[in-house]
Amino acid sequence: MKGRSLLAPAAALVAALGSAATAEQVNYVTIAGIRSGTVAPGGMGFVALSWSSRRDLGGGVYATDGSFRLKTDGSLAFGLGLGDAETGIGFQVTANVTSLYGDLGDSGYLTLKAATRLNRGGAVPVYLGLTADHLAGWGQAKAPDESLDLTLTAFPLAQIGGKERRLMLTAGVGSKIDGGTDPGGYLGAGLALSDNWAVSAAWTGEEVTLGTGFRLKALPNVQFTASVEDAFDRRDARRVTLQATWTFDNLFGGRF
Amino acid sequence: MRRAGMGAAALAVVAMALGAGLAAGPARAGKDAVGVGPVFVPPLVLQDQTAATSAAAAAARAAEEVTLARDFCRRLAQKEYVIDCLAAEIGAVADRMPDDPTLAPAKAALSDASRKLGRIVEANRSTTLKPGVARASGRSSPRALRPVETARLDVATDAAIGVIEETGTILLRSSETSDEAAGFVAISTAVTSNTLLLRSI
Repeated sequence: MKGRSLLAPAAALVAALGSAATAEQVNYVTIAGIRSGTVAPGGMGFVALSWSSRRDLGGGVYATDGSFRLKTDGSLAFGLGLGDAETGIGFQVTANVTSLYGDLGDSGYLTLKAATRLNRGGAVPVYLGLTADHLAGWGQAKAPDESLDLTLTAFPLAQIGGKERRLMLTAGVGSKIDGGTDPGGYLGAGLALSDNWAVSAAWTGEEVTLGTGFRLKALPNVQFTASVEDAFDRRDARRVTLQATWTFDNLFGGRF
Repeated sequence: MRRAGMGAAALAVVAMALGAGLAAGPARAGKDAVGVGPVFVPPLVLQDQTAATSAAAAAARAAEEVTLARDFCRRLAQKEYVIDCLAAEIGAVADRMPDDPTLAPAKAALSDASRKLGRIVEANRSTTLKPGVARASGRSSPRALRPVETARLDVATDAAIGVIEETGTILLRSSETSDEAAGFVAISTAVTSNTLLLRSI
């Protein structure tokens, strides 16, 4: 009976994800744990709520001791897309609130990102993104800690398992990647399992992040990701990260 | 709007669930946000449409895209945005067509139609309604759409119908000298079908 009770929510989730796996093409894809070379479309806003099972203590060290409440933490991100990466340059501005503890919003920073599609009209869309992170920090994040990332992301299609599936491939370099303090590179790949479900793997030099992303048919504007960062515990930093992102794209008026 | 409301409610529930466990904790804000933030993925239609490798397949795909564009623009509740929706969508179809000399006349005709529709919108632009990105059935317009003044909708629509009909005729004429005649006719038919949409405004 216990087994059945555990399976029931899983079955319900599979049903909620929809029957898109029977379609000729499956196209929902994402990569958890690393940046992408893409930005939010112009006019789209988003709110992202993230939670980690282990709190970041700084310098790539994560909490190991204490109660559940003392070990975990979360963050909020509010962002906006501007411009158009498809035909020119798209921009994304994000305000990050780094903790859900204490006074909400008492610590945070801004992230600015620009991206463009390199091969307009090409068969495989390829995007190049430049991210400036940890800008204008306040509270605990006030100390100068700016970083830069250059990220390349491509979205090829591949015939896998009898279906044409969308892939997401990302490679990037950043000034503070390795342990969150030193320059480094990162790679990642995502695979569409259905029109609403994807899996991914990413590598950041020391950590491997295994993730999954999904959306529910009833909530097309909300996306969820769940990932295990440092999945092989090489840095004694294995942790579970959950994220829910709500997007809304009528910021500039026009009631569509 | 209902779906957006459900999304907000879902986030609120997650926030409350997290907040119940976290908000009462000690002040110990971290220096870094959790994760790297959300990842945005362009619609599949962009790469799918550009996957055509032959001129024939590309022409057929372009015709299909124009039809999809019409269906997308038809879903807009506010008709003031429909003409610019067609301008943006048809322009995007042209941009995604490969630079194949065989397809050049069709690509040029679609680009020209997009520009002309854009000029009609600009000449009749609303001073009260704001531009915005349209979204329907999980798809977004390629750019923010500009609304036409409601009082000038009839005038603008008549002009847009003229552009659409002219473009259809140009494509048909091009088909007579093109190696991709069938593809050009299909694109022409798809383009011309937009007159029905415009007449319904």
